[in-house]
Amino acid sequence: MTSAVAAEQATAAIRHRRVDVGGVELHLASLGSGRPVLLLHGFPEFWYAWRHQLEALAAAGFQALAPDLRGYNLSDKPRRRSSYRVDRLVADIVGLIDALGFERVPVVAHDWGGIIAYCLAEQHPERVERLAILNAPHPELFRHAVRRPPQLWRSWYVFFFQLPWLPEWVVTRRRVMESTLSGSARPGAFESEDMDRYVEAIRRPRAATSMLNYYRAAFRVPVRAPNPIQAKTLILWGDRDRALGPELLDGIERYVPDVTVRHLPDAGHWLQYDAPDEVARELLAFLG
Amino acid sequence: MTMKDFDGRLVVVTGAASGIGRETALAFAREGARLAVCDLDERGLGELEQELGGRWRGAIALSLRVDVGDFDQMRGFAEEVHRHGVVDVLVNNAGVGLSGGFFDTSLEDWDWILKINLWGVIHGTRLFVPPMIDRGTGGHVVNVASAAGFFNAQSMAAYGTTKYGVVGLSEALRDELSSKKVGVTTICPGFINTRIIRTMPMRGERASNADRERVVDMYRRRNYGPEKVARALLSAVRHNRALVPVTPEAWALYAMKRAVPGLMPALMKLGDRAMWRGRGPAEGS
Repeated sequence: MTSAVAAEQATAAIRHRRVDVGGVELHLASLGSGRPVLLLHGFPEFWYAWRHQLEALAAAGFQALAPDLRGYNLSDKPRRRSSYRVDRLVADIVGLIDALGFERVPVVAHDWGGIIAYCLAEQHPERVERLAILNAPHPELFRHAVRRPPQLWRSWYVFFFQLPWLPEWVVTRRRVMESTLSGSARPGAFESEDMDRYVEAIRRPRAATSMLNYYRAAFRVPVRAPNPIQAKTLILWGDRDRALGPELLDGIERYVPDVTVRHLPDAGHWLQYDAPDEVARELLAFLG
Repeated sequence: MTMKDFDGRLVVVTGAASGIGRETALAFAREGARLAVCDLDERGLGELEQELGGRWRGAIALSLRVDVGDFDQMRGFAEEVHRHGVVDVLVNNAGVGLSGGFFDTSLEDWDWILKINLWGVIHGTRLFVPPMIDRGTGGHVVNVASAAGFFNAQSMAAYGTTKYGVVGLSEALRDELSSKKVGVTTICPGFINTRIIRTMPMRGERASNADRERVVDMYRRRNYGPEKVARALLSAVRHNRALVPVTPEAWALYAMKRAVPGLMPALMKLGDRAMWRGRGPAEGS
């Protein structure tokens, strides 16, 4: 059986629907029944970032819920740049939890999803049962780190993304997607079929601009989350991340008092693909 | 023409003892190619042969210590290579780094880096391409340039000049050889973590060991391995691509250079400030 067929079969059971989260509709992929767990992807992915974890969580008796964030893939894509300010993104997730009929849920989040999740947990502690963060910077620590050379260099693309239209051209090249994902992942972590899906998603009408607007909006209105987060938190950190250095965790206890940090020395930024089994194991142990 | 299959092909890789050259040689060998490799570093060449154990043992038809900047040595190498047949793919990869501004670097520095980085490509092309043309069944030339081949700055005046040269040479060569079934590709990797940074001479104000460590560390953190460049290189030959930026940052620089060249000077200043922020101009030198 080819890997494509295997992946097809595994993803065939995934349920897809659109959820109105308050004026905006998000596309939601879900697998399994039982206790809910919300999975928030990062840039430049979509719900598919969690394809390995959806299966593992569903098999362990969870209802794994992975939306496309606003502007991504099959979710609504408001046109205004200000529609991608982080307060809107947080409101989407609160709206999603409401629409699904839950009081509070555990949230697992990567990259931009993690930034949203930190803000969600800080502003709406009553909605976040537990928080698992995968290679995402805490907004307050990032704000300071990005002013100094190592992180400033690693974040070059944040500045590049502020340009008009040119980043749209670059990020929709298939070879750039390959270089971005496979370039810093374990060989074979991403398959050709995965790349097809990511390229298809970012080439949907207005998707690239919407995705880049996260960076453009955050550049103008800084993302803040100064208050300590109450939720019990697990941080999984792939140390071979090209874009985010492990020093972004220095001082994390100040903002996340109840935190456990686990380093994955051989995984990079795309740890859901680099180390799917280890990530699933850690998440299941944490979610209990 | 485009080459889809490298099985049994004769591939020349210069500078194959380390970095991108080494990974390129390994990648071609794993595709079943026969290899003729050279480098100044004989030990590295020996290690390359050792690395090719098992199925690919014997992939290396020829391995020689050669200075690509020396025409007589390159001619000797080419004679040896041609005993094994006409070359199918020539990878002009050998290159060295050199940091510093124009007036920081001596004429000897320029002579040295031009010899290796630009004359090396000229020699390789001169010696290996004519038989490729005469055979008439096609071939491919890959020149490994750099993102510094489309934007240059004070910190790498001489290096960038050689790489601009390689990009320009490749562009003309691609035009000239297009009717002769020989493809030409320029690879512009970007920040790749290889030995070139650790071994390059550094001139000017930023030339201390601490400065070198800072640069080495920056490249290490970028964590983009030469094996990924090799993969892009083989794919570029298969598709006969003209110019191939590899890392996302090389793509971004390439796009900006093409679309908004006026932006580059300001950008370089910003980048330089970011790199050396908090350090006096001549600290440690």
